[in-house]
Amino acid sequence: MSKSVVISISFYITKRGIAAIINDIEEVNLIFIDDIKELNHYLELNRLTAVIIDQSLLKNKQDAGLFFQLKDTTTYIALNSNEDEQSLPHTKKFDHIIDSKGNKDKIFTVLENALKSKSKTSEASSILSERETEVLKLVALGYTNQQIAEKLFISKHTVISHRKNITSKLGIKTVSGLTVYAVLNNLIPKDQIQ
Amino acid sequence: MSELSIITGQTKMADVIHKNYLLLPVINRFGIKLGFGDRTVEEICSDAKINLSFFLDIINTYHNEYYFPKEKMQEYPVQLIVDYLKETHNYYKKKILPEIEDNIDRLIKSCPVDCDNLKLIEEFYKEYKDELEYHLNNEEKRFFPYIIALTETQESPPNLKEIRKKYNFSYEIHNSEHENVVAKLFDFKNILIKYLPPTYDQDLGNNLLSDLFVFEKDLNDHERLEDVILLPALQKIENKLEKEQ
Repeated sequence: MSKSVVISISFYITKRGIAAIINDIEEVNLIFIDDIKELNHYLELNRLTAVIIDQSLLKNKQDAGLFFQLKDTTTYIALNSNEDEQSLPHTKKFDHIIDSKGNKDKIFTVLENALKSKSKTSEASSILSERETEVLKLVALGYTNQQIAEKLFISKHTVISHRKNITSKLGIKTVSGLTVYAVLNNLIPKDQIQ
Repeated sequence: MSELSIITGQTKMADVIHKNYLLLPVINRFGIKLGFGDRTVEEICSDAKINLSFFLDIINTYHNEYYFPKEKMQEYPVQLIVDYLKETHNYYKKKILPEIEDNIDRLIKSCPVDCDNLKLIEEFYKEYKDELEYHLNNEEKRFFPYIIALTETQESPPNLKEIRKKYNFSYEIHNSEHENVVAKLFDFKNILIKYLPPTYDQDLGNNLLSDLFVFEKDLNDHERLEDVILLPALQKIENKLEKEQ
């Protein structure tokens, strides 16, 4: 599987610059997303090697909250373009920080490490765990999160977290899509679909 | 990384299509047809009375992912953008959606045995098509006339309460429908690519998938115009009128 890196930087020159540096290090798929909502949507659906984001895109609390539902297989890198961003509260959550005024060697080192690290785990299997399979079956049969929680004696929060993992492993987001997957894999019989 | 150039008024229309043939349906939406000769984009737009700057921004945003002049596009009359979006709706409803349906039909006919799974795909698509058409019709009935009524009235100022009541537009419904149609299309593609056993003619399967990719690109571009240009414009005018009234 080839590596994919998302670059979310609004300044054109910086964006192209970072893209060029990454391509000097390694040939990877580059995806450019400038809109935080689009980015969150994309992150939910895709497994990525790294995300490089301009901190200024995280001003809105709600969007930032969604963004920081971090996956442990992805490396998160923040780009600081001005000084007051260094003291932002969420800065700590990033794996690495690059300063747009930083020197070449430092930026290279950070990006090189980002592309290397975690790459083993990012190829981890996308096979569902037993519990996830159970949740998937119930989703496909039309149960709500609350109903699934009651049936499996787990919290609703845990159901939601299982669903996120299922979606990220299979690359299928909607209930209809998951239902088709479940039938295709004989997890539920076709005549039980509502 | 491939380098993408920007199309200008002096670019020959024939070169535009040589560069990116996926732009064909986009220029058709402006009423432009093949047989350009050596005429430039500017000449063709001027003959057909098309707003050159808007035309260039639309094809460049489509052609080049780096290009999205948000501030400039927010300056265009809402009517101009809405007219373009309505043309894309027509293209989806009359061309793309039936074509995908035909492709699925052919796929099923090409299957010798074990074809239940394909029927499942057909049902999934039918559901998707219904939901998409519902969403597009909702936009035509509520969203577009609502934003036009608020931005294009000559008498000042438009009565927000009355207009709101008349069109009954909801951001929440709009956004959730929108998210759903984008996510389902993605799911559909991924199911074909990763999970559906290939008990069908491969060439026909490739045709279907390639239609879905083209459609997805078009739909995402269409939704971006709404999300980044129209919805913020609507919110701005609503806020302004709320303060005044």
